[in-house]
Amino acid sequence: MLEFMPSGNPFQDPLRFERRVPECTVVIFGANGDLTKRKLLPALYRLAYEQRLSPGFAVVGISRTPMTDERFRENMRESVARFLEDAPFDEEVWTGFATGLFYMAGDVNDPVCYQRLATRLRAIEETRRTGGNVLFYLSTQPSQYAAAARGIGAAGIASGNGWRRLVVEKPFGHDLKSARVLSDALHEVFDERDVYRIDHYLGKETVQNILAFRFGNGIFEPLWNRRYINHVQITAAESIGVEGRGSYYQEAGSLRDMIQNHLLQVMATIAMEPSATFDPGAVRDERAKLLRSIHVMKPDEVAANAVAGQYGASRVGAASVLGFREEPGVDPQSRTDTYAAATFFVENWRWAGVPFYIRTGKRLPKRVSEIAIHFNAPPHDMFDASGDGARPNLLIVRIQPEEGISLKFLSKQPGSGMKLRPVSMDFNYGSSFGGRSPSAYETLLLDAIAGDATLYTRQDMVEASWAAVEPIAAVWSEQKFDFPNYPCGAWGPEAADQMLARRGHVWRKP
Amino acid sequence: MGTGGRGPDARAPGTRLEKTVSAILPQKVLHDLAGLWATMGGHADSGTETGASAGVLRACTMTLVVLLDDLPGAEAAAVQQRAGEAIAMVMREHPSRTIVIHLRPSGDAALEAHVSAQCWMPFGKSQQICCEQIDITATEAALSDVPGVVLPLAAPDLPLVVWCRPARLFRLPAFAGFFPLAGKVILDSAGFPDTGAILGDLATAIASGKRVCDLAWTRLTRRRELIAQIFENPVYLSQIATVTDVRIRCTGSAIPVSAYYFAAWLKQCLESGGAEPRLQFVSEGGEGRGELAVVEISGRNHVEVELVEGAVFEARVDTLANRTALPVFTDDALLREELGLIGHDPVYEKTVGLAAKLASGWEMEFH
Repeated sequence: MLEFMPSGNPFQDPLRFERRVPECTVVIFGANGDLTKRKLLPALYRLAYEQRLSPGFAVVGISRTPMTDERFRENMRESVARFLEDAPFDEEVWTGFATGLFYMAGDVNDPVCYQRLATRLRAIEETRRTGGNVLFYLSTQPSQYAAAARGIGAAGIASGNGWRRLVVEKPFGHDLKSARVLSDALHEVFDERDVYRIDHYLGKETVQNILAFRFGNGIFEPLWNRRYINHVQITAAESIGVEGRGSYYQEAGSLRDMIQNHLLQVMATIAMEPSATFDPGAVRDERAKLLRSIHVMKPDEVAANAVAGQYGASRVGAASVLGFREEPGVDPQSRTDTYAAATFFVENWRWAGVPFYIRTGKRLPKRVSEIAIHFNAPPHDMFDASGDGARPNLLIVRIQPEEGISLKFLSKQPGSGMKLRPVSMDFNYGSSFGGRSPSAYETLLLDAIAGDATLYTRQDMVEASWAAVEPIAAVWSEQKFDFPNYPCGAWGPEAADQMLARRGHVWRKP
Repeated sequence: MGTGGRGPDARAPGTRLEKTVSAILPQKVLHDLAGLWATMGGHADSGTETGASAGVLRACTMTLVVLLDDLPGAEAAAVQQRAGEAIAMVMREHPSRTIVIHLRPSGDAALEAHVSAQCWMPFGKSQQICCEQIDITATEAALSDVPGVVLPLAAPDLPLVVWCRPARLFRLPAFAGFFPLAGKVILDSAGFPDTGAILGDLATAIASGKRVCDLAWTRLTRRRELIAQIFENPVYLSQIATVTDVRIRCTGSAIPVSAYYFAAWLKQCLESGGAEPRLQFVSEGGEGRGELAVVEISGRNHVEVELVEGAVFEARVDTLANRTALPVFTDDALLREELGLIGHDPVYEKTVGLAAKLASGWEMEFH
């Protein structure tokens, strides 16, 4: 994430001036959807509040619902006021910001929509002096990405006076073949360098901080390999269920929804080699290299190294909670995995033999996303008087809810004798840096407008992730599961515990 | 104290827990600080209905040494209070061990210390964040002893920043003892009567390798940014070499330090872009040392940035105009900016030398 884009302007003071991004119009396809209301507009508003956007910044929302500009502005005002996180809503700032919000009713499958958009963009370029820069944001169903890109191309608005970029949200295909087909469709209209595949996990402060932590400090990297690290656990747990999105979720499942994209990207960040420079190409090259190094499971390896789960009804606290198959919109015979766990190995000198355990699921005991790095035990344990055995040192990188890093080590208990107990040394983002951290979407949108793709996924990274996950998905598609196999509020099915137990490991309870 | 501050993180100063120590024995001060944390931990547990608490978190990213005048009178008390509020606000972004030196003008060369903790609860959180504060009362006669007291009290392995609120102290020989401790010294030359002298001292300090910054310069950041944004336009950027004149218009009859800074900065930037501008300071009337009002840059294009009212600036380029409301420059806002820059500031360091030269030989023109 370049702190400042040099421009040859002698008046620039990169230490003090906030990075401003160039004038542009953000065109949001699917502007009436949840993502726009909950994430995109609140993020853009917040950037405007912090004066990070140029005065001429504009948004054109597009969806099928007929609506005036005014109505769209009112709707977005309600959404921003409701969904803004950790930040005040300022009416005056909103008034200024809203003058740049526009709306167009249109269907992504209708060529006329794009012709009208072209006319609208020309008018906005004139009145708001956007320099012709446009960021097309596809907040639509993934099945519409190709049509939208082709529509943009056919209307002649994929290029213009300024730059034109395309942002797409996951899923990037539903398997390797469809990912390639989608990519080819996007490349008919946009160069790869102008395609920004969003993975909002990469925009989180703590995930970005992994790079600072690993490569900004000299003390950790010498330990960051198979000689000192025993295994790594990556967890993304949710306590909620599908929240009314059962019909969408049963098409995806945890493996595709979380592991194929977010969690493998997190794993790549934890395990990658340091790049020579901190520019987008170099960093993404190393991530891609790591992803390509993941051992692709053979079909007969899947049973021992991957576990699927589906939550069943139970009581959580004092309340009865529905199982997945009882959720609205879900097939009562659904075989969708609401829990997935897998063991991956990286085939390179640094990581050979070190298991990376990844798990994710819904209706787990708590909402937590973290990376737990388990170090090897000391080669000789001279303090094992309690019989507990040496507890490993742990480095925990907490992504949510409380971002931070903890180091757990053993310390002597005060008093006579030499009894050891684990203690924790904590770095907490919220207290060490009292200022507000930007949301992932604020960071990512600013980067896309500035043309910084460091935190975005590249096509080769997408394909490598699919290659790692596809064998699991292929075996599971043929498998008869005995679902549901874990109750709501449990840490997943027993088979996931057994997967680790075979290597003498235990899942951490965050 | 304790959980009394629960709720949204409003702008009010945080809660405090205090203890007085009778003499400056650094070990005793540190011991009393440690005792304070133990007490706070106990109060945090007992201050909730269930007895279970989110605890308190001790946060520290630097040592901030603040020099304040401890003078009698309501006006002086108000200045002290504003400084205290600024420190409390700054803690949220730059949690630190703060050592406040209250300087009395006269009396025996005595030192007394008093430890406390400032706490606040971040927006939406249940855990209090607390920073340490050590208040030391001393007379100016004891100023040269203060660095020796501060050194053992500084938080180890973290930067130490000195905020010299009365700028006049910076010019005292006794202040020199702070430089070996400080990673950075912050002062505000805006109200200093002898502009040339203070700028000269700043330039000398920087030339000798000391890291000093001036809040009078910090106040100009957003205004400088407006100018920089204008020249982000490639059309205007390409015309920099055609600039022939820079006119700095001020209120008052004496040129304020901000005008010297702005003029020096502009001159250097324009010269690096190939221009050879003539510099002119112009008074818009009024008495005493006024404020920087309008900056004009003339060449093939004519650029003006004017403070029109309050904190609203109008940037005009030829026939185009745009108004921007800039943030209000409170002490804590300025401090936050400086505390975020602990290393060298090459733009400032380059500017202050020329500003000092301008201040030593320039006169205001009256129109």
